[in-house]
This record gives sequence, C-alpha cells and structure tokens, in this order.
Amino acid sequence: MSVQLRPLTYDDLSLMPDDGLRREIIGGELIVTPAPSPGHQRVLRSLFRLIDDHVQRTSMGEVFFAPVDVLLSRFNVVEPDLVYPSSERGRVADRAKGIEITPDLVVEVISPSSGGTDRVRKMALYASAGVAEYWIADPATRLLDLYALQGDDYVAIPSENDGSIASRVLAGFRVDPAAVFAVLD
Amino acid sequence: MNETRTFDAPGNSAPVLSRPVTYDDLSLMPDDGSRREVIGGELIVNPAPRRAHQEVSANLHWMLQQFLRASAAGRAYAHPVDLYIGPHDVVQPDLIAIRASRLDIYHAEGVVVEPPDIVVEIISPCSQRVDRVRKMALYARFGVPEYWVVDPEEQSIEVNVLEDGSYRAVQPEADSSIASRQFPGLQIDPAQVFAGV
Repeated sequence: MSVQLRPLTYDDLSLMPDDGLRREIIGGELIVTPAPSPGHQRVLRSLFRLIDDHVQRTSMGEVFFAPVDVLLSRFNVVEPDLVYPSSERGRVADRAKGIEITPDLVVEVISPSSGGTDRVRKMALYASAGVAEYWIADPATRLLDLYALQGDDYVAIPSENDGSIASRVLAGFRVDPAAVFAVLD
Repeated sequence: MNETRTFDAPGNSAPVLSRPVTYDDLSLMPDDGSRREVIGGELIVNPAPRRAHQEVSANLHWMLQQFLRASAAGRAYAHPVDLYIGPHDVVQPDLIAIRASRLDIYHAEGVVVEPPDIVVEIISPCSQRVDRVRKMALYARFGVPEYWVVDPEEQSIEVNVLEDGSYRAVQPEADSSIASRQFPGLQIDPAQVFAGV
C-alpha cells in the first residue's frame, strides 16, 4: 500500500526539512514553491519599504516578510510575502509558531509558478479567513491590484487619477504601482 | 538586464485563472454530464465515472436507503446534490445521508446548506488526492461528523469520524462489517457493496 493520503496540518510542516523551499498547506494540501527570483525579491523589497515606512510612522502595527507562517486554521497554513496584523490585534510573540491571528493585510508577489495559487486558491482562502485587504503584485505585467473584502469576496480598489491606489486598511496610505515596479528597470 | 527578468517569460506555466470561481459561476456552466465542483475557489471537473464506481454507488445507496427508510431514521441521496459550504466551496458528494429531523437542510432548489450526517465519496484513481486531502479538510472544516471513503479498486470502506476538527478512521467490526456512529444499527457488509465489481 502506498502512503496514506490525508490532509496535512502545521505539525506535519514542522517535520519537513529546511531546504529553502516555501512549504504551505492550503485545504490540507501541501504546496511547495521554489525560492523566488531576484526580480520577485526586488518588488517585494520595494513594497516592504513603502508599507513598513508608513506603518512605522503611524505606529499602526508591524509588517512581517516571508518566511513566517500564518496559521489561518488547522488545514490552512501559509507563508505570504508580506503580512500586516494591525496593532489592534496585539503583539505577535517572539517565540510564537507564527502569526496565529487573522492579518489585516496580506501581500503576495506573483511568480510564474504561483500565479494560479495566488489569484485563486489563496484569494478564496484569505476571503474566507476574513483578511480585510489582499494585494497582488505581478512583476511580469507590472500590475499591482489591491482587493478589499466586501462580504464574502474581494473587490478591486479602483486607482486614482494619478494612477495611485488608496489602501483602506492602511489609513492615509496610497501606493503608486509605477514606483513599486521602478526597481525592475 | 535580461537575466534578472527571466521570470517575465510566461514559459511553461499553466493557464492562470484570474479569480476564484463561485457558486454563481457554476450555474452558468453547461450541463454536459461532467461533475463540476469548486474547492477553494478552484474549479474541479471530473468526467463521468467508471462502471465500478457506479455499481458501488448504486449498491451502497440502496443499502443506506433500505436501512434509513425501514427505521424512519432519515434519507440517503445520490449524486448530483450540491453541497454549499461557502461561496468558494461547492461540492457534489457521491452519496449523502441526512437524519429525519434535519431533512430541511436539503433545499427544494437542490442545495444542501448544512453538514449532512454522512458524506460518502467513492474514489477513483484521478480523484483520490482531492477526496482524501482537499475534500477531507473541507468536510472537517464544515463539520461533517462522518466521512466514508470507498475505494472500489481496493474494495475498502473507510469510516472517518470527526473528532476535535480532524477525522479519525474507525476500525471495522470483528465480522468486517462497517458500522455508523451517526445512525446506530446501520451496518454495512462490504461484500454486498462490492458485489458485481
């Protein structure tokens, strides 16, 4: 008999080797993603600087970057590129397994291999977990989409006349996609 | 410069869906005999099942129905029944059983909106991963108290009981029959389920 298939949990993840691959569990299924490309990391750095700068200045909480586990439920453990739990949710303990509260904002930078997961399964997961805002940055198309949770679903936040997009979770913060992707030139 | 942008190439990546599929999307799709389900926003399409699958389904449906009707304990229904777990999670189990006092969870429009008392999936080689991993996690989250996984190839019936948010497989009785916790007195003889396979 082959190995018994069953839904995986965080406990299973902790037994897996630390080989630099990103391992996540979505709906009990193991999703393994290779280390990201330099371009992915450039866009990520650019986003982190912008968001972290705003969050620090306004003392609204803190931004974490991958790898950090976000334990959304028993069969859903993900490692988003950026995670922001607002200060209202309390401080994440230094020695915690990961982030065990629902974050207010999650950012994923798309890789060729992760696009379908980020835009479909993770989007459905974050919506059902109640993540208020979900950003998807795609280095290939240089598109940055901000989605706000409305009821059960995400609705794209329209951009302003100058091309920037106003976050609803980060009060007073507007992000300019051109500035985010300028690091790729 | 080009080197740093190799990730730009669409290359061999699979076709990318642009958003999670919902129950409303399902209703717009053609009725072509394929089973269409949405799990975590992803569309899962399965072709019509093999004959062994149908023999097992018919046998088990008949046995469940016989017990549930004779005891007035509830009803069993065979695929297709939509099980609505959430906007991005809508599945069609092979069989479900609902106790008599909760039959109203099966709406007239054909949708079940709360956990059935038993969900049965009859696995095929291509559905195994979905049935044993993603659907199992989904049914656990939804709170389905008993999840039966029937394998026509191995001729096995696994009864999984929900405990603290996870399923635990229950061992068969000494005479190899299968007993349900949800419907006391319901005993299934696997030999009868796999008759004709």
